[in-house]
Amino acid sequence: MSNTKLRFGAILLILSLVLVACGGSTEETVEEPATEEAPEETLAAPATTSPPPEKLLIWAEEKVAVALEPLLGAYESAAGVDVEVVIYEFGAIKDDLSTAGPAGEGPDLFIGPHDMVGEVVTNGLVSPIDLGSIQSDIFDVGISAFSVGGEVYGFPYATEAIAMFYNSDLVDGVPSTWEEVKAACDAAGTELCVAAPGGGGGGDAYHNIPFVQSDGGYIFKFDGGFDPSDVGLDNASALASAEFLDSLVKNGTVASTDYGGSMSAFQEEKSLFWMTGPWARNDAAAVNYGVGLIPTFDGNAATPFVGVRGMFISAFSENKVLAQSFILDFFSTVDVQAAMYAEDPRLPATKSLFAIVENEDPIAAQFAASASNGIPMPNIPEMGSVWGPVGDALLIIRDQNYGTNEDTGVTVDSASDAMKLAAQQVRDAIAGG
Amino acid sequence: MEIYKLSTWLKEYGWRHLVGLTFVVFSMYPILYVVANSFADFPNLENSKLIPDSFTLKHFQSLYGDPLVPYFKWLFNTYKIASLAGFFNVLLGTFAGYAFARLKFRGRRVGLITLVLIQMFPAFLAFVAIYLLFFQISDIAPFMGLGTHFGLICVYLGGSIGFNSWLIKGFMDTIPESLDEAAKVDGASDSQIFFRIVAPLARPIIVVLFVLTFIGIYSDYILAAVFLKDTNLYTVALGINVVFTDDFSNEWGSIAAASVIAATPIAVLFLFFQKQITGGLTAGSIKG
Amino acid sequence: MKTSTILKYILLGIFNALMFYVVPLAITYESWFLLLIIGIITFLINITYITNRLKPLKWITPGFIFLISFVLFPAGYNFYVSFTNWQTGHILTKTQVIERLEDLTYSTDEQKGVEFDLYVMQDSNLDYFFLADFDQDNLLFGKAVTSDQFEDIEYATHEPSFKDSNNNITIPESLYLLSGKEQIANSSTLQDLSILIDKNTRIKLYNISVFGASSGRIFSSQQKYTYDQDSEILYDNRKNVACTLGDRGNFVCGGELVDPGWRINVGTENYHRIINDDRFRGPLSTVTEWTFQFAFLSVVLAFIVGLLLATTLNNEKVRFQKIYRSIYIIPYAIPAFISILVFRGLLNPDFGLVNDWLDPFYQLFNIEPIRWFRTEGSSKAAVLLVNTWLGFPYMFLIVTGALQSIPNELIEASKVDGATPRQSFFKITFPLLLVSISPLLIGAFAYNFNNFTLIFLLTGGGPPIVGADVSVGYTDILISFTYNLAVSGGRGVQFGLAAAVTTIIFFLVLIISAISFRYSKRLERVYGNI
Repeated sequence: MSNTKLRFGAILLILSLVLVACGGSTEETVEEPATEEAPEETLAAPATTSPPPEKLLIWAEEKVAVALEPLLGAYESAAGVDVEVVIYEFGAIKDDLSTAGPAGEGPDLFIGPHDMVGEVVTNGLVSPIDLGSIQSDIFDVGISAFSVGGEVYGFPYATEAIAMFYNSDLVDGVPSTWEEVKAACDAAGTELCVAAPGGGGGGDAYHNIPFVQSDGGYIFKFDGGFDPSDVGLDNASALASAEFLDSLVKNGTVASTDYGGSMSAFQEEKSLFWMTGPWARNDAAAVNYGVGLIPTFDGNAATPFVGVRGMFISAFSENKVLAQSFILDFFSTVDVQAAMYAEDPRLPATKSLFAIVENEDPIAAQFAASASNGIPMPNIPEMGSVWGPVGDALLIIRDQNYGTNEDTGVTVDSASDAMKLAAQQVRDAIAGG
Repeated sequence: MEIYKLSTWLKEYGWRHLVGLTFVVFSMYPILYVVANSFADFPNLENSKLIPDSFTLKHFQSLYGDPLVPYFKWLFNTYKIASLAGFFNVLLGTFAGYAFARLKFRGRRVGLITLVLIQMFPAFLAFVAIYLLFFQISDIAPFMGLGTHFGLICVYLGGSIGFNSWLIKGFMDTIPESLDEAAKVDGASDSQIFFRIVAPLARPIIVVLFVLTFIGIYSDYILAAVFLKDTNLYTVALGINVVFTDDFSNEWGSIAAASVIAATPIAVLFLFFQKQITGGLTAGSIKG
Repeated sequence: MKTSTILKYILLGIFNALMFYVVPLAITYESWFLLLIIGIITFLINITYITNRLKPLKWITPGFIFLISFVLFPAGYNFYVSFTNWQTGHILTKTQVIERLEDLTYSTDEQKGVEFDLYVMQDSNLDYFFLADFDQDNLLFGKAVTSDQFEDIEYATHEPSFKDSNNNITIPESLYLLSGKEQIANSSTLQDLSILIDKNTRIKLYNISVFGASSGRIFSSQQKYTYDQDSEILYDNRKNVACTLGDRGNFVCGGELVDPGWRINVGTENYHRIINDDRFRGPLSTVTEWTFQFAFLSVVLAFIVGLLLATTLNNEKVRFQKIYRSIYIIPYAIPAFISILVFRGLLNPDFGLVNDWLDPFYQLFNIEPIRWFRTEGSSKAAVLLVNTWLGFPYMFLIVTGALQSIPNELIEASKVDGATPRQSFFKITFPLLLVSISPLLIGAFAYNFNNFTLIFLLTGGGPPIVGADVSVGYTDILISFTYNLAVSGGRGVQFGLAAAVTTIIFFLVLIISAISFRYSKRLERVYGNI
């Protein structure tokens, strides 16, 4: 008996010891393979004594990592730098950054969409960068997307904006007016005409925004920067645009589809057009397709949102000169940018690469043309209070869900009503923030 | 005679098969969609067709051989983490359940309910705190810090001990205490009673909880994303989310193929586990 | 016996020694959270295993430790956050903010955008020198120092001798020119060095090039902000104003807030907002009502299906039961986000297969096809349908396991007493089952109460409640509703507010659970001691 008791006692204790080690952390030997040194290498290091190689830690999504992989070796050996790329889900970078950065565990460089610029700047998480001579090679939309208060907070490398896919077996191109679009659909006899995300129960302000801001409406007034106190969702032009969208839905030009629905409609040739962005090219290839501009609104070119992706320098990087150098001396070069484009064909943000791409890829050129009519998505933190209300309002129009709500007693009988409601919600949210 | 048999069979068992088959359809139909998408040339989960227009193996091939998508490593990691964490989770839960069921002490019920109540905290914001905590652990004990499977397993161990101990306790309550008493008379210690009598008899519920914990961990993505930053250390759920998804253009074909491959062994293993679950209380286990 | 005791103390000793070894480490790293947890765990382990009186704890402690570390601690942390103004613009600590601000340099408008080649040299004393190559007439050379040495050095001077007739850089023998690679190797030092052109202007190394020439930029010699610890005043050197402490965790310069701010304790303000802000209160009753319905019905429906299947198959003579069971587990083994999106497609009112199947019924009864996701009722039905599908395998497994614990003799006995199978099920099996799995039902309720993923992916909360003060939908549950509010505040994400909401929801769930446990205690009294 004492024997088993002893055995059990020992097992239990060893077990709890090991397990407790997990809970509380103990030390055994620290020469495990994949351990990292505590970040202490910034002090010391007088010249000529050869210090340990400098390290750069980058957080990036998979496609960027894949593109950089074959090129990094050359830079690492030329510069004597150890570059580590940690693969992240694109959207998760911002969340981890706000925890890891201040704790001293964050990256030196990271990638992200420009609409988070305002937030990370307000939070003090990023450092500005003076792009110097390469700034002239970057499209203005990229620079303004990454600018806050006169400083540029990153290197923009890719832009994207929605345009209009068409089924090239059934139609020759995208007509320039919505009336002609409707006529083309009638001629082709497809079940649906324009499949656009943002309906079908799936609110999507991003895809719908050309229906708001192409003809004088706007979310926030842009004047050197976005002004959250000037909301233009219910100005006369925005209301007229909304009513126009309403008529397009009523006459069957714009179908009530969410993203997935619009995709299957286009793939199964149920719709003639598909209004979305360059990420969808692989999916669109289920049919023979071409890409054209979104039709005009009252003679004005459609104004989609332009999204820009860029590389940022963390404010908590302990070696900012090195981080800057990585961007200016390596990442911004045409070779690297070309490799990134090859892996993920979003439009290049640099003019030099775009000149190359434009000739090789007419479809990319079409998306670029659409983007050149667009405006960057507002990068101020107040944008957070826009997506919900605007998505909802446009969903009402797209799904024709008019009527009086039983719970709130509020009546929305027209597209204008819906927009007014959205504008009010946005103003309230910003005031109450 | 034959007719009589048939109608008895229908009355006794036929309806069971009817119910069974109905729910086979109910549970399998969406799955067939996933399977079909793993073979479709242009996969789309919101497709209106079950049978794709053209078939391809490219999504399965994409999981093999690309060093940046070490899918089979993910698979191995997933099963490793889920089985280790599942095993220790159930073991610790069983220990606690035993204490609550057999060792009579004051505040037993309150203690157990407290464990369960603590467990109710929504994990919605928990990961920030866990992230911060493990930064600190990483400094001191890197072998179990961020980026390690060890640390992740430890976190999973906090996951469901409250619920598990309750269920095990409830099960152990139904095991007649006369068995323990007899053993005690023979001079057995608590631990002997636990390992020789109570635990073996509680086998069905232990197996069920193991399966549940295993699958819960297997499909977790949020905590794994907090911990694992090296592609080679990913789990399947994490790999799918990080590598195959994008704002709009998710690689549904690869996602579907990856899920199908990962889910198949679970269903097959479960087939073999069942004897353990339905072994019943009485059949021969008292000898244990 | 003795050996075991000795061994126990040895192990305990080792454990404590390790903990004592870790504590100073944790202090050096300022890991206060960790220290707290280590303290609690060490205490627990010692009182548990030193005395022989706390037998039950020996069995409970190992698991409890994990619960403390990874559930209780995050919950406590969340509680703490709910009393702060942790939100966009206030995520750092005050020390970090001051460090950040003092780290900033600035350039005047005319200094901005000027880029020039910069050469880095070193003399035999290992001092660094920069040569800034603006043009032929401005070849500025000077000793590079950190900002605290600015007083001691001379301004950089124009040194035409550094260029030969071919416009190439030539270096005197006393100096060593660092290559790009060497600059990078010393970049941690170099990044803090500047040469001064005049009192107000300095030159810094900005881009170390390994493929071409490194370049520099011009900055003002002062940093953008200087902080005076004693007076707690921040000086804005560019605008030349003094900034004082605001009461919300910001510096205030001439009426303007300086970003970033830091997080401060705001007491119960977040809770007050939830109670008093109309934007919350308005839709709250609708959302709360649906959250309860949703969580309750989700559990009940999944439980009914699980129970039905488990009891149906819990009969040794049913053939293929193993195969049935394995099939039922598959929905559980497919990542939920995929299944949810598949359902979105299946239910699509225009192309979805569900409406295709239902078409004959629509025809037969001459009714309008269901507009899934566009109406309140259909969206709610869809949410419940999908959640039943996602949840029934769990219930099925639990019930299957728990059924094994119900002694056959009881059922046999009731048969002998003349009970029909249905009677014995409802009188014996079902109540006993409830006793053993009630906490899991309560747990499932708590889980669904916060089932953000399902709502977010399936309906996004929609369809919208038209006319509400905020963007909110009919299928929004408390957690998705507040998540939306927390991220869509006027100025970014409001973690403090979100934490307060989570805390409230947590306590709500606790109260409901506690009540349910009271009820289940009654059940136990009746059925518990058989």
